[in-house]
Amino acid sequence: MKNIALVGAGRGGSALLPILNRYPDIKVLWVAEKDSSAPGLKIAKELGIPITLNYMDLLLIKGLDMIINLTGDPLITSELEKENKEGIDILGGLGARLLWDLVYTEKKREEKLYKKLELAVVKLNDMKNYLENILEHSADMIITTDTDMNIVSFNKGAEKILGYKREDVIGTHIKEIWFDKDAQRELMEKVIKEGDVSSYETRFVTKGDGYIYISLTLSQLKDDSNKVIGTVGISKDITEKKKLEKELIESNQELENFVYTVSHDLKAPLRTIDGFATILLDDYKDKLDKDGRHYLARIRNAASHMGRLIRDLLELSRIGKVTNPHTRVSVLDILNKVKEVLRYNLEDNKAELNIVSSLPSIRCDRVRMVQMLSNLISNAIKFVDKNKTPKIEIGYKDKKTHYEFYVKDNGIGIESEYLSTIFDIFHRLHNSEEYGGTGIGLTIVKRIIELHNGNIWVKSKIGEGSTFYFIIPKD
Amino acid sequence: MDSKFINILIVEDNPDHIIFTKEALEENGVVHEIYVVEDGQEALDYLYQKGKYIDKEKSPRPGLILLDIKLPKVDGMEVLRQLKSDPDLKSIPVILLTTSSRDEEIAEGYLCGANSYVTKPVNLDEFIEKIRNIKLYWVITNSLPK
Repeated sequence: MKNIALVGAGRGGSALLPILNRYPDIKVLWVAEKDSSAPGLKIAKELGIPITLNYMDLLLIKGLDMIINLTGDPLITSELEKENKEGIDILGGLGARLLWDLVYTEKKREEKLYKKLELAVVKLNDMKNYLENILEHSADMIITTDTDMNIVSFNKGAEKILGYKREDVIGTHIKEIWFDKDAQRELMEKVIKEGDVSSYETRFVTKGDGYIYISLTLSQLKDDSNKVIGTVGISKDITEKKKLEKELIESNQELENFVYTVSHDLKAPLRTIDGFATILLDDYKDKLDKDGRHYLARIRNAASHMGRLIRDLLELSRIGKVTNPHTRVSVLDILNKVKEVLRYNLEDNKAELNIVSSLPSIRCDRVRMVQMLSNLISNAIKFVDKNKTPKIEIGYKDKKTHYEFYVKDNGIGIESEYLSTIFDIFHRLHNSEEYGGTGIGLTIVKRIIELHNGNIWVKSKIGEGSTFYFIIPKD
Repeated sequence: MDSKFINILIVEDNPDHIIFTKEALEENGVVHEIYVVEDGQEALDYLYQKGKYIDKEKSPRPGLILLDIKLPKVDGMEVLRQLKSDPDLKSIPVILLTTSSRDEEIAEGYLCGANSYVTKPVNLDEFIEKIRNIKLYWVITNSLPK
């Protein structure tokens, strides 16, 4: 333990006193100062250090080890040294000056550090306010809970969307405002145990006992030690979207019913037309001349063409509506089924079908895939120069994320200006006497490919044939 | 041959289609006794031998019913439902006739107890062919309850 006394409680003293006070093995016993307004006096008083006006008194203190002269006055140091009988160390002049400088810079450094720290705290506060502001004023609903599912915070977005004041809901259990209670329990337990859930659609209770649809992303809230302390949920109001979805489903249903009714009602008179034309041709053929029979035959042709149109339209309206489960099917199996479906068509036209060996398997609606390839292949058989036999080649390329299949023919080809429009409904490039058809087949093909998240396009040269490419994603 | 001769009830509201169905049934085969009613309520009256069908001689119980689904008053599916839940009538084979080939409708038809299902094509020849097949199965191959 060192016992010390100071001469001077000005700037030096006031800086040195608190520093010395921090060291447990240094004790300041007295301070000498003439000027009663010196700043260090107040500090000395606070620390309980006695003060004397006369520095020479310090030499009388028992057990004093050192006197430090902080006044910078060499006369005081020499006067003290002259009367020093007890062997007390007298530090003055350069030594005290050095100490003073040391203490002063230390203090400055401390002040600087403190300033920096203060600045950091201010910045941190700003950042906290900034983040709080974002959360608070977000148009999205942001609600946090503790692990017992009690609401801890409730932002302005939540107030606006649900209609409650935050003070009314903070502290209450989240289930009070969650409409689908079972979903709430299940979902929150899952999040606390396993982690985040995103874009989950559910319903919340609004003030006045209504409800709204929300899309909720729920995450764990963790403390510094990574312990789960609750949840934070960010939600969007999707009531409008839900309403539109419902309307869309209803109007699709209406449309389907409409198409069904129309096709039914259109088919009935058609059947009458064809029926009586047939009876006339069969039972009254002797009473009709060649022209009469020809006209009746044309009536029957037109009726059956319209029948096909109605059938294809109905089919188109049902793609996407009636879907079979997607299963893993080998493309070769699909093509074998297509061959079965088109057997007579292939035989009658002596069509050659070359399929590359080792085709992959794809996940698809098998029935629709058969329909799609049947349409493409029967087109390839149909659109061939009259004096040629159809040659069709089917193969694929394995691309990283998808398979690219092709159906190549030796047909009449498609003029480049029509390549982009041939998938459009009712788009026909030939009159029905040259090549029959409804103009719906390729639209059905495209719709089926799109239902499989794929894409289809065609390359062609007049007189040399066309190649249809389509891609199907791997899983 | 006698056991193959049956009464057939056609339930159909379109007069033209009645002609075609009769034409198809009478195509170079056994001539059957054909009875026609034009809406669902009449069909039920006929089958339960009520109202103008009270005379059992003139309106005998059919051995086969060709039933259109879209009918005025009581629709075909309802007629089928009532018919198949009646212990006396449920053994009569019912062939549903329809314009659509909607899967849901076909499924519902079978669920209600339809024995067969014919989509009416536009082409009369095709229709005659289909009815011929139906006849072959239900009238000639199958032995029907009298």
